[in-house]
Amino acid sequence: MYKTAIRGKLVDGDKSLGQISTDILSPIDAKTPLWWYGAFTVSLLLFTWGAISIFITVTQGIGTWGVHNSVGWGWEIVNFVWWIGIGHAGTAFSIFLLILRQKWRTAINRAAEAMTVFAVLCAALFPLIHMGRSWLFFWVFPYPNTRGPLWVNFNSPLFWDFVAISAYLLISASFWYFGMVPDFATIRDTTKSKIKKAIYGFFAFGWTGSSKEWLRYEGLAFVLGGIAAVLVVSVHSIVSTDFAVSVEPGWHTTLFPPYFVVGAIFSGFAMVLTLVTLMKKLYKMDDFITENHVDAVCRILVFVSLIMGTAYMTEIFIAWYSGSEYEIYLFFHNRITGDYAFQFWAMFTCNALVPQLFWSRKIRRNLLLVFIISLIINLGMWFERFNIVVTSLAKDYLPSNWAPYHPTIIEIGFFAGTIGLFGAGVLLFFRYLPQIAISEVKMVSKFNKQQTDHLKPGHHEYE
Amino acid sequence: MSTNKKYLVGVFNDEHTLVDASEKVLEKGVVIEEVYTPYPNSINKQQITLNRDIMITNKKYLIGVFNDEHTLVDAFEKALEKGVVIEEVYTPYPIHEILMGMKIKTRITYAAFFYGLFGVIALLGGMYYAAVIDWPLRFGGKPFNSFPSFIVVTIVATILIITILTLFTFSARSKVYPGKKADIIDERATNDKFIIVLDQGNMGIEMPEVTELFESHGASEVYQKEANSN
Repeated sequence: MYKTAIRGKLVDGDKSLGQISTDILSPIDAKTPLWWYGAFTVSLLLFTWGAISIFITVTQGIGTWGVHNSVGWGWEIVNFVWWIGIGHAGTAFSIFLLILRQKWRTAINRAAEAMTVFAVLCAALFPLIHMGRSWLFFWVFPYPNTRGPLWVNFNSPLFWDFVAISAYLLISASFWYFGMVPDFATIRDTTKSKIKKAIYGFFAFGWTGSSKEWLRYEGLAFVLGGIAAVLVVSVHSIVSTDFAVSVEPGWHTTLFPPYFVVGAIFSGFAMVLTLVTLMKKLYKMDDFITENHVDAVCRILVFVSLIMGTAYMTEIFIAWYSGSEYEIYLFFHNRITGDYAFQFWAMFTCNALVPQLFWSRKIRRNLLLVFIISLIINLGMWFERFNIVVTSLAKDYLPSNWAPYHPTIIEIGFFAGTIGLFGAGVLLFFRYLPQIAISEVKMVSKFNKQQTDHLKPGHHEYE
Repeated sequence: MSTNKKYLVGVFNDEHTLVDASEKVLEKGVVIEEVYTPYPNSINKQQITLNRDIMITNKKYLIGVFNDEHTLVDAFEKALEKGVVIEEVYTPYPIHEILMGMKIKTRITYAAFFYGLFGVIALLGGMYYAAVIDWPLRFGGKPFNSFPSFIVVTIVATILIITILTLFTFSARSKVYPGKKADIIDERATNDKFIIVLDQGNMGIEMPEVTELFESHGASEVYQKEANSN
């Protein structure tokens, strides 16, 4: 049962249920603010740059990139893993906090889930284009075909990854959507605009809030919550097997699955923090996303950051302890020192050291600092992926294979394009969809008041 | 209450008199529940169902409106004690006391389990067929049936199968699907009101008593409404 004394109020301002709807829906009803158009234009420009880069890649080939025989996975896999990691937070946030009965998640889970969907979309673009002949991408599906039938290799982590990402995209999108159905009904029933009534009414799927609907809705949330928790852990473990089952130094390690899952949650929660600070600042959602909410996410980040630091140290220790000269060379002469020392130390500082600032309550309560640190963490997580992908490939067993890697402008454009796509998606979400789960916030708003015996504990097992 | 239904049964000796009688009573506005015959006959079934639908849509509701969960649950439990038959309760968020009090059950979790079972068997079977029977390929001397590496795909794809099939089940059973026109009794129920709906034809106790019960337990409004008259 939720104890108000520990976390403070879940919803500030003593709002009535009607006010909760009005406040959360105000960005949909209000005029589009000027900054929104500015930000959307920038996102679209970035996206256009990305679209041009993709066009050049598809028409001319992967040769337009900086990848070569030694570093075959350049920025594309770096960015792919980075986006997938960010995309992990939404489901992790919704599911793990749902299972752990953390009621403060209700103000944030919708934004986290939205972010997940856009991030996974961005991530999926990279392997798709990296295939080279991306118009034949459907060959990855195991379907009866006229080429034999030639089946895919079920033992390959690349195929596992394809299954995992498609499943993750579909499941997180449907989880996000079905969470919004009752809120669409609220928009349909409260708006005065006929157009909005028709459009949101269509997406509300005829929802009325009857006990029959809620009962099955709860059952559905229970089932999806239970199985998606497994998915969160398995998807990024599978991404890590792309690396871990190879025999490259620095990749071939049993640490990878937990290390990747934790890293994904780390970067995802940092991106959640970026988004909620923006929601607080730009949309004045302070009554729903209180200082205590931000504080709670920051505390999780301190904890996860310690795990990240431990993982980095463990990798280095095991490289030395293994006595394998290739591992020792990679970690001590190609990461900690050597050509890629900057990327290594950037990763270490951003992920293991800077988040330790969150031990301070003052910093956790300073919105600007929280925003900056959340961006630093995401930068650090990008460097981590760069470290893993590029350092191992650039200098492997044979010095004759050694080759430095630099991205071309096309690769940079492709990455910028996905940032534009993500930005545009998030901006559209802010403008046209309920940013906060209205029905869930209404449900927890009663915990602000002193408990009465009519709200029996144990009756709210899963929301 | 519905199991204690009382029937009035008319028995006819031949098709001719049956058809004649059913046409006459339909004209008079009688609702025919069902017609049982030894062989298919020329009774206008469509007319019977149409007639019944008209009567159902002419249902009259008695509606109690509450401002918060606390008073709703209180009135709901008192009403059940007094033997009131509650047609439906509409709330802005799920309330477990109501879901339990309505005595409805969902088996969606059992359905999900069987979808999972189906998924595991289909996936492992499919991969075994492809990798062992249909097109066996040697990968560095490993066995064709490399079961441990099939597990990865099985877990993830089973989760996908469960999710999609459970969503469809939810959609079909709760009748929440694209293009459905919402059957709204009181549109404040998705915003800030909690609504108990009773069917005036079957309330369990008399109307003044129900009204009095609702009002004394904190209903902000009690009003009557005909179905589909928004």
